[in-house]
Amino acid sequence: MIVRLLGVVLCGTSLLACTSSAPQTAEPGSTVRLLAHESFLLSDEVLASFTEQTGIEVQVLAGGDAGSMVAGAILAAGAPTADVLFGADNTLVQKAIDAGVFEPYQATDRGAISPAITAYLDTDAVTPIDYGDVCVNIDDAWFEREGITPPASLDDLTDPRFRDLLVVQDPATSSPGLAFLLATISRFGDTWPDYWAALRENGVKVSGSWTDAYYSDFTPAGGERPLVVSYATSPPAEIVFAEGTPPDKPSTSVLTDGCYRQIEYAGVLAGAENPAGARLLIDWLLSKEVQEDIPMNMFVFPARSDAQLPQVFTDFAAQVDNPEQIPADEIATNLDEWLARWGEILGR
Amino acid sequence: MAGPVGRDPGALTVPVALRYAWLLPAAFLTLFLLVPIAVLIGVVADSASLTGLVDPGLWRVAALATAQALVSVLLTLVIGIPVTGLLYRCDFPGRRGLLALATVPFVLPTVVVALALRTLLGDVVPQGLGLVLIAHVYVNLAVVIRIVGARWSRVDPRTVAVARTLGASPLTALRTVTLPALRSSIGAAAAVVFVFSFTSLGIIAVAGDGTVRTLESVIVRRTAVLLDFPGAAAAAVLQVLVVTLVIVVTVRMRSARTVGRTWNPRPVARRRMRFGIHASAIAVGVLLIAPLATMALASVRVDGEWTITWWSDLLSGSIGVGSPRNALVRSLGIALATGILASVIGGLAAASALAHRAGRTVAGIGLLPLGVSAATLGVGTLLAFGRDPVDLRATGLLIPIAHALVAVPLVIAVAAPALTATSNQRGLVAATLGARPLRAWWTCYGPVLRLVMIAAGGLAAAVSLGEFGAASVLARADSPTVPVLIERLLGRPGDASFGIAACLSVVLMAVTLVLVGLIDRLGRRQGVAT
Amino acid sequence: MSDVSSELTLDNLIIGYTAPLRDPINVQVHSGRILGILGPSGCGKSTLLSTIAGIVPALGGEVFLDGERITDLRIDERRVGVVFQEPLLFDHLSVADNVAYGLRRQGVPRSQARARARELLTWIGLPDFDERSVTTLSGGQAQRIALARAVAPAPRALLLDEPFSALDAPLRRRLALETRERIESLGIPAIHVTHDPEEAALICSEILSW
Repeated sequence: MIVRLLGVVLCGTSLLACTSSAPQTAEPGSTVRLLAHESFLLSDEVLASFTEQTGIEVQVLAGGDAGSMVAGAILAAGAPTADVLFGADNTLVQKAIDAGVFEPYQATDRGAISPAITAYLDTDAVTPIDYGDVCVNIDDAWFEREGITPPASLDDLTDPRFRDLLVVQDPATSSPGLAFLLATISRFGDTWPDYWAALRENGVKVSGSWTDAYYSDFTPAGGERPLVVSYATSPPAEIVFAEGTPPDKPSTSVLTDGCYRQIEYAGVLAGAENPAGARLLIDWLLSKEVQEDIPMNMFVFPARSDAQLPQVFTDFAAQVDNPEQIPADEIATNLDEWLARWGEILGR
Repeated sequence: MAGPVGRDPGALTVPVALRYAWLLPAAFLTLFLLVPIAVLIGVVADSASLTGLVDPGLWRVAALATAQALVSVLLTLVIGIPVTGLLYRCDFPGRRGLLALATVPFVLPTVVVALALRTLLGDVVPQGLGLVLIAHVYVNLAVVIRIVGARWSRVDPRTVAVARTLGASPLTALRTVTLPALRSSIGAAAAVVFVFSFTSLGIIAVAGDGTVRTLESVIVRRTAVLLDFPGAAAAAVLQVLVVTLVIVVTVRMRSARTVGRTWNPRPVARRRMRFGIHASAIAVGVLLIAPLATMALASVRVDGEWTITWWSDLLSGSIGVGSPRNALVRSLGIALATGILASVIGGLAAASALAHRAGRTVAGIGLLPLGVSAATLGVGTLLAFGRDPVDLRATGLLIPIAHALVAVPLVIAVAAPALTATSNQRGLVAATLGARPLRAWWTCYGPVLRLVMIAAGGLAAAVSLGEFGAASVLARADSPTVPVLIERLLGRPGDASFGIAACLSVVLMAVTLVLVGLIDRLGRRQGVAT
Repeated sequence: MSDVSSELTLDNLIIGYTAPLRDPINVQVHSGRILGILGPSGCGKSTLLSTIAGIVPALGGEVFLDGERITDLRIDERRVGVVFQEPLLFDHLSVADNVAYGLRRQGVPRSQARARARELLTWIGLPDFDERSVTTLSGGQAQRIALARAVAPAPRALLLDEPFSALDAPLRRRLALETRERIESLGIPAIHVTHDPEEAALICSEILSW
């Protein structure tokens, strides 16, 4: 008892976070480190609000792309370099959970999450924060100029009419890239290698990251590919980020066939230095304030069902009724083999 | 106790300390080189993944990498031999400067070189095999120039004159008299260029498009991205086999004869030829400098205007993908640690090689990492010391250790010949004047050893600064080294990422050049060849 | 002036690298005659031979060979044979291939060239040396082979730059006499440069002192 008191007093006066085996309250003045992938973004005021409410500083560490980040976390399991990991999505998360990357925690607002989202993966190891549908985006303006009717299904993508028009991402390093691969596996079952061989025949380009593909290879950005694997929420983003007067409607649309529902999770890292701060951060990520800030910054949907969506989302975000999905444990078992096989087909 | 040893007529008594000097390098090498290699072999030999070695996909990568390396060798020779002739047979103002300039690309970090070429040629040559080959030629030109040049300066130019009087045109004389004399040096240079191109990583990562692969890039991808350790180990073993084969074949081919005098380059007599020589020299100089100048320029421009934004961002601290300033400090610290560690281990190994067979064995083992690629060392270290039961990841020692392993062969390769070339006369004199064995030994070999250790340590630090393979595998997400950070920055769009990558490249270039310049000046002053 | 066609003429030839080494040189050598140039080292003897051979460009004046002006021709076009102070044999070729080198450059097929080389080796007294490696030869043997190599492609003139200075005295005398015989039998003009008056007296038909 006395020892515990002494510990609290000593810890309270130092700036460094103290670690002890018993759960403790997070101390103001400490720092919590958030390891996120390169697409993580929130408004500055919203980020600052966490520090205002708890007195804890947030240090955002850049983890690169989601695939490498999770791989690094698995390698570092037990001796992590951060306190919270954000951005392990439903394609990668089971593998990380199995490797003991996370320490279970039930967020306080867990009940506010859409049931469909929690139904996919029922676990305390991680908390869903947002979701999006990964779909092929179409540059309608380009197709109109060329006088070609855009593709309407996954099968169309292998049609010679659309030769050399598609850019996808490397599933080993990019989470939308992986989501698209899983969509094809879900759709075509055992014949998925044939589909990809056909895509390759049809001149598909593989980019290393989503940012490269969307901001360099996609035709609206000056690239040469009018078909890109991206999000169902990319068209609204186009309106939001337009320079000058925003157009009435987006010039890009979404191929609703073959979309994959991607859910992003956050979790407390096992062995973290500041687990109490980590838990507060997870609660905060699930708070209404942050959930309503997510759409306009990361262009995905909030996990909370009661979060209000911005107008441009309700107007222009595509509704995907039957997205593809594969159970998390099935992904965990087969992912290595699928990636290796894909690598063979695409020569990477 | 201490006993006499040595080839010189008087034998210098081996001091007791030197008798046991081999123990430290032996312990270091056994622990950090042999154990990881054993772990790798163990992972492969494990029945489930012995199949990894016969995986046809892996052999396909090996075949492609071999083809790419052969083309690299061919291109480098075709361009490099004429440039060597220019630099070693003709004298012109600025020749020495051009020679130094031609060596620069080789000592720079490969990631920086690849980025520089990508920036310079990006519109004309897209990322992919073409750009990779250009980068390989650019970097390996120095190898051909140095190795073939050393031999060329020992070819008597009068034999060429003789051939001319016998009716040979200049080209025919080159083909029938000069090139045959250079044959073994061309073979040695080709072997070195082959190994570098075959195990290329940084250039593949930055100048390639994902479909150009080497076994080295496969190792890194399997380790850091796919977490497929058995697969990575299989690729590593296959690569070691190929490289060892090449080294063995090369060593067998080498002629033992070392030729005597050298001939200095002469100024060219005929005016027309002189103009041609000068023009070629200027062209070569421009081609060599252009990529580097492009990087320096890129670091101070944005949207066509001058700016110091990137530099102030660099110095101020964090941008999205991690703090460049911290990465710089970290890389410099690692380089310093590597320099010290490698020069101590390598120096002790070379010194003890002088004394007795155990020392020679240790020095021989110390040369092994040459045939084992950096990424392989990284994976082996990770598997041996990066997880239970021995987990050193948090200590931050893994990268310096891997870098020291990469650098130790360089130190030994520089120190051992320098020591054996030192006559023991001074030591004998000191002994007759009453000096104890250790003192006498130090009087004799001390100056050379100290000089060589500083020079080689500097070289080790330069290698560590630019090292990319082991660092890719061992660097933790939040604490990358500068080359790894540059690669990550290039994966993000936007001017800021590129601008800062350019600044980091310029810093690496500058530090590397200063280091190598100092080493060169040091070496030349004391007449030790590095 | 007897036979105009087989004659080496130097007409106000100015030799040197950047500045003239000597006054303009005027000299005529007829076929079968050996002109000796005797002088200490550094007086320009070797430079003269290099200039006639085309290795160093002339600073002024002309060189005529067989009536033809060769001053501006490339080295390989002049057909002037040279034997240097050192044998300078090609060590990657056998003895026979060394001797055959000039013939091969003229397009003579290999077997024919080697046959001629064997003849010449007999001529210089080394009949079984064709497949020997160059590195196993003695100084005298190597110099003789260098001579055979120089005359093999039937040059129109022969220049000898102190070819025997590296050999010991008895050998030098013997080779000097043999060489004189051979040059006279070839019927071409020759210039022999040396610092040794005795050697000059042995070989040369006339001597210039520099």
